[in-house]
Amino acid sequence: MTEHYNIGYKCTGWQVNEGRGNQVALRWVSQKLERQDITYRQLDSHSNRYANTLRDWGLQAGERVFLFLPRTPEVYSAFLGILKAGLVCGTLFSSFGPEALLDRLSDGAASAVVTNQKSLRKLDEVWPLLPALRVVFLVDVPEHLSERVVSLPRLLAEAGETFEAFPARPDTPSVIHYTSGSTGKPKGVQHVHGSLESQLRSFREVFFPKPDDRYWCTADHAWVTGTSYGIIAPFAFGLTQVQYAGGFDPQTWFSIIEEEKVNLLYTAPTVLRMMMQFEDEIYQGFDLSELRQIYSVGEPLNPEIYHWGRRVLKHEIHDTWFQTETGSIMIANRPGLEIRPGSMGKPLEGIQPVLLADDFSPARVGEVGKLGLKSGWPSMFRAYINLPDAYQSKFHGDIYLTGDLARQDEDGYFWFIGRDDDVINTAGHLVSPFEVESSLLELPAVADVGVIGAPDALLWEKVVAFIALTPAATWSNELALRLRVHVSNRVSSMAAPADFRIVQKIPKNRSGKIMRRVLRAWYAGQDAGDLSTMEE
Amino acid sequence: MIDFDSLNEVFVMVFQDPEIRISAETTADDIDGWDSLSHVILISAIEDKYQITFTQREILRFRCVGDMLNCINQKLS
Repeated sequence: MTEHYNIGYKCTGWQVNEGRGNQVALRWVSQKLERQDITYRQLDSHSNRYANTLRDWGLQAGERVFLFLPRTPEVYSAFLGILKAGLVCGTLFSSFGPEALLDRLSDGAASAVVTNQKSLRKLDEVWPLLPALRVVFLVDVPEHLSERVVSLPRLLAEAGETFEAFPARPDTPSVIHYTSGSTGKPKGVQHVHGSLESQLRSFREVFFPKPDDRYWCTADHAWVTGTSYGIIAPFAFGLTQVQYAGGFDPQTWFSIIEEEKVNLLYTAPTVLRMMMQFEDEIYQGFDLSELRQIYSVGEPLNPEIYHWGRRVLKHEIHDTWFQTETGSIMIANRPGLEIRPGSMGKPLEGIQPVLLADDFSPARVGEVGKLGLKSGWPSMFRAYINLPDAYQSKFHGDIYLTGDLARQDEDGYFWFIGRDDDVINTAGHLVSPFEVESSLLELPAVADVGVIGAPDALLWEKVVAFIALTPAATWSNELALRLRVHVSNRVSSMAAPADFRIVQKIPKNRSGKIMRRVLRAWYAGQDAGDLSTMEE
Repeated sequence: MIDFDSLNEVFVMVFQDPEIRISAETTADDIDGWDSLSHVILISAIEDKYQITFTQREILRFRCVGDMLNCINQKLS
């Protein structure tokens, strides 16, 4: 390899060559608060074992291997090993149900899946519908279960711990994240190894990391933040990461921040809003003197969270904005820039956002417009898998259309207004109304359904389902629960409706399209406006 | 007073896994699919079954199934 573009190598072997072999790359804190340190040398050799194992199994560069794992230390070695081998890593939330799995693994033509015994049950349900899936690697069984369900511990123990990383070029595919659109199935967003340049540059520009810093990104690895800033950027920088296996609990989180001397925290507004629900006194007992900066991503950061952070945590909270498609932070509030609470901040160096009116002419300062980005930054997505038309539709000339609406003030700060489509942003996760509707329609009690997002104090937006029942069905709490459980288990917990409204009929236009603006008005108790296009 | 068997039925229904066996020490890490969002569904299922209402703070303070069961029994008593 003359030039090292391979992300897996840059995050491991290159770090060892730079003299960081004995430095802790990952401090893993278990739910029982037990620590496990993994050095860069160990991360390198373990990910090499992964790469060798995948190659030994006949997987060729360019094939797709999906990670379907909860938060465990294995995630990091597996992810980096897949990339080292020149394979493409698809990420999946461990909460996904069989339908969500099928959509993604089928569209992505997954050749292999790395998972655990618990999740194998969900995978088994859909495996017959996945002809490309050759092998499933289990991280938690000592022996192979069958010819195609094999033990990773056994294979890794047998595999070599050296590996010559695949000579990736900047445009070599690296990672696929699935994201939801307002119509159709989730789209596979294809990223490339060259994305590292943007991820590392933005990491430096926004986080101002120092070599001895401890950094904690709380995002799940299945989310773009969890890979771009929870694996790639910090390891490629040579930083020590802290990760915690458990869920949110303010006492535990702040004791980890204190005891592990976390300097940089990257989390989400929903988490910060949950923190705000506890008494201020909880936080005052902790020594947060090592904590230099707090950052947020996923949903707009309400000004009240910013003010709460200053008052209670004695820290400013910096909002950052990017998308699965952008691969790295595009616009941010960051140290050195005066924070305007509630704003997205200003664009990073080299990033050129534009605001466009409906006719694609430039919006004036202060006017709301479609937020676009002049294409060309290295971490820009390169395709929606199998959907070239959908990919093209995201561009107007060389402007990538983000689907967000925003305005810019006279001083250059951007302000998020909302989505330009029907996608629901709930706790930082994009949920497709179509996916939820399809799942609910599987139940015999549901004659028709329309799904919208509605404002929520904790989640930013919540999923709301309008249901037209079949004549034999009767609405009850039990039925509501059954519908929620169905969506949660078949699609994903993040897609489960938080609220239901029972209606006689779902409003549709004459071409049969759900009139979501009418549903939104109904939900808000407002006048639905012009209904002339509604079907009879 | 309710016991673990009674509460287990709710877990089996919500996570659609007949093999679930909860104990006082069971946490989200032990149950496939139990994350912060499915937690909301679990809570509403428990509220429905036992005709109780949890406060947001109570919900956020549950660290294991034992905490949950204690809180339910306090409300029922």
